[in-house]
Amino acid sequence: MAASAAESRSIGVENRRRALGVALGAAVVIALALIDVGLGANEVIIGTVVLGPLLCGVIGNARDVAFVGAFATGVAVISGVWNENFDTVAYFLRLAVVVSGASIAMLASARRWTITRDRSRFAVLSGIADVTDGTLTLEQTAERVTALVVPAAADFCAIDVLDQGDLRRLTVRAADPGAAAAEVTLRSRAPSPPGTPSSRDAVTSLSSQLVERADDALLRRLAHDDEDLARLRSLGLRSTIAVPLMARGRALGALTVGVTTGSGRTYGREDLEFVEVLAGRVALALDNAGLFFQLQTIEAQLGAALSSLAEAVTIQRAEGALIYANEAAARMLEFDSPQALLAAPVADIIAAFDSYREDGSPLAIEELPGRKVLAGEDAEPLVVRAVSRATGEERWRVTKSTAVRDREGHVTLVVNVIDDITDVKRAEISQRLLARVGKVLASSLDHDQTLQQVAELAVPQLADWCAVSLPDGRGYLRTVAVAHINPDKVAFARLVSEQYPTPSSSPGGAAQVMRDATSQVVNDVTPEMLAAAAQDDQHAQMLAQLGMRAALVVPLLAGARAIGALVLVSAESGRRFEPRDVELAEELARRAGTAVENARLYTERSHIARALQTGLLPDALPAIPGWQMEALYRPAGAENWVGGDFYDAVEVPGGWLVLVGDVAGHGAEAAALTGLARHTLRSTARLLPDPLDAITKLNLELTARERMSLCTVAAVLLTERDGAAQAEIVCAGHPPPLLIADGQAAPVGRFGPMLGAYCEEHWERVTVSVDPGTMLVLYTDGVLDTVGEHGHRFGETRLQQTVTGVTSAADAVARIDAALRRFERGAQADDTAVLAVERVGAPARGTFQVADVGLASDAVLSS
Amino acid sequence: MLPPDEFSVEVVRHGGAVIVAAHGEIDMATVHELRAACRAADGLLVLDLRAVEFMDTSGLNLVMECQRRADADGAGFAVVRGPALVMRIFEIAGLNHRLRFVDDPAEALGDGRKRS
Repeated sequence: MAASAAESRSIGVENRRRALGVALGAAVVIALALIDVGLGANEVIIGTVVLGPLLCGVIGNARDVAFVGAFATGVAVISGVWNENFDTVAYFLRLAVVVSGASIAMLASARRWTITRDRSRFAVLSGIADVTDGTLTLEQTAERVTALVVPAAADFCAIDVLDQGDLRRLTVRAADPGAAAAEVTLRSRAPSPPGTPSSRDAVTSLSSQLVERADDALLRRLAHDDEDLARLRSLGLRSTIAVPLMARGRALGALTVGVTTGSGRTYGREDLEFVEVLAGRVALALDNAGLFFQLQTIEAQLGAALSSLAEAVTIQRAEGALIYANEAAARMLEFDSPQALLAAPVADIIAAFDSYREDGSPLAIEELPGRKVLAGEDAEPLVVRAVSRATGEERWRVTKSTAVRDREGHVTLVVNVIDDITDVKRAEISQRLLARVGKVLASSLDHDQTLQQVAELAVPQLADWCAVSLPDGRGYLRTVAVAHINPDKVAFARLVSEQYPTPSSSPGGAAQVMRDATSQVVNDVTPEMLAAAAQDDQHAQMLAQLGMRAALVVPLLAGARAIGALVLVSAESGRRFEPRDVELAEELARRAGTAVENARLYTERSHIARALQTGLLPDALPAIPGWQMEALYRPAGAENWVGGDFYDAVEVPGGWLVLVGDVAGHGAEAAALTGLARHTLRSTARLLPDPLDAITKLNLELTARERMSLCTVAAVLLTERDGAAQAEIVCAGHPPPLLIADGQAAPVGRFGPMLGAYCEEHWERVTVSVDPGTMLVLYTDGVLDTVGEHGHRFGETRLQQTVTGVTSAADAVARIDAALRRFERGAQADDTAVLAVERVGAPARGTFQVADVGLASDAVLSS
Repeated sequence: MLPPDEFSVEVVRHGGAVIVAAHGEIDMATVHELRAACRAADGLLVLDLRAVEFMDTSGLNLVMECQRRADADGAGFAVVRGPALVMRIFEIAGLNHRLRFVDDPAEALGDGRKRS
């Protein structure tokens, strides 16, 4: 507004100067005329009045000079009265001098005026050129433009812009006097109605509107109403020009200029041309300002969008300096604001974190995608684990960098987008860790070994150190597992725990966690804490050497009971334990605890199972006169705690029933079933020696059971008549026994249905005579199914080959055992039972009196 | 022994019928997976043993379980014959004539449709 006041003052000065010119010119004319009157008719100097217009011409404009010139001419005309020379040549000559002098002065003044006007117009245009550099807003540009136009080229100026199809008055300016009132009027007015020579028509018709003389009739047309008409009249309009503002082929708005009657200026065609040129420049300035504004708006929007992003975004210049960072980037890189981040040296920003690759190895700065892109290479997104040196907080980030290149292809900027994937990554690590731990825990029953593996899985993902302590039953905690990526450190830690075992009653630490069954986290381990925990100076020294910075101790839980403690220690990494780490460690410990407890129960159960198993087999094979018997029983490993295989030899009326059987399933159920099968077969056979009876009875017992109870049995009734032995073989779903005669082995028996499947079944017996040296080998499918190399099974053929040429029952069993051991690869999967019975000849005298009698009577009855 | 994870079960629903095809070795370690698949059947169950390389009594027990369940529910059960080694187990168990054996699943399904 100060500028505007100064310009108003300059208009005042201009007007005063012009008034002075007229006054001075007129005064000179009057003075010279008076002198001429005083000199009388003899001395005539009236021609000198020409000085009046000449003098005025120096100061005033053409109109002023014309006025003074006319006055001087008038004085010169009437000078003939006092000089009495109306009819003289001299009079006319003098008159001619005055007229021509005044005319010359007028022309000169007009010329000077034109030069002045052109100069000021030029000043306006060049001034506008200065504001077209596009760094100002639309409003600022319009302000500057109108300040240049008024008062140099107009008494008022208004700029309207098209805003969503309608004209919006951007700015107005008016010259003094009455500038303020006029500006208010012009600003508040809506553009005049259509069809009038106004800004609106200039824009709609895209043609300039010139009003050379604004009469009252025109004002009525322009006015919206009476009040508006009054306002328009108050402006004292003389001429107006409204020109569309065109840039890049479209109308931006309109420039309206006007002069008032007060200023004495009038617009003509020439002014219109100037205003059109002016409008071109103004349009350009506004267009640039608009583009700049749009760009600014986009930048502002972009800035707002980027700052609201959860991903951190930074922009680096080619030489590496940061020029942009959003809020998320500032937060991620531990700065209070993006400005603070931008102000920090890049080296400091990078040095605030220790960076690691996904596999845990340290990451060099050159490997960061941003660095690679700056070096002109392509860079894949990189997953980085960053540990803050200040807080020890660990974050996972994925960094993507993109180059912005100039037309020549040189990298000018690098845009880095850094996504914090800590939650996802942690969840992934947790899941993977728990899955691996699950596998490890399921893989073995040796808990010391599995706990060591668990501890090894926990480093370095979860901590730098991991240890597991279990009570040793003698009042101390035993460190059963220690893990660190450096084996030397593991040895050292073991040494510490061996030399200084922790008493179970110890306050704090693992002992307390075990007692309370609650986790403990200490994120700022102080030397005082270590000193307090140490048992003596050497212990304190050792503890200090471990470099413990944070510790997390969680109970190994079996149900609600703590059976041990899992200790996680952060040392060289400097990371802290956060709630999610505690959660994960607790879950890990819960699983490990359950596994340890299961292993313990399992071991306990295995003992029971062994006892049970032994109870289900005959204590020792009975001695059968005339027969040699040998058995092999190989229960599968600890995992298979009660097998379903059994064998038995029962004395029955008229002979012996030997049998081998296999019940389905394992565990207590199988043990119960084995008991039932043995008992049923024995008790039935004692009454009804025919093996078919025993088999049928057992089948009925099994099919009567609610739960499906399957069993296979190979039963052989050994009888002797007149010193000749025979065997009756019945197979119920069981592999037929091998008969080895003359060293040759062949299966003997008919396949009969397994027991417990269908209630109405029948079986067939096969009777063979058994000469001395001949033997029968009964076995369970565990023999056939024994797994060897490449998953091959032992099978019937190998079994037959194994027993070919055997010399005794003991030899048969020994060879089978040896062959199976040789053949077998991996853990034994199934129980294996073999029972070999060899006919050794007629019973020795005196030993089998009772049997002999029984057989004799049987023989009598049957003959 | 082949690792247990080389064992796989493929379940194909065919109308109301379920075809459970086992691949690999059926033994104590793998039979649970097969059992779970078989238990999911609520109509005709076809147990396809063509790709089974080995089967022990665990498999046999499962077959009997399936048969018993089918009998109880009035649903059908058929076994697609496997290799000789597998069939030998059925032979030893004396179940050759007790179970319904078919040469391919379509045979069991065709019959199943006729029945319904």
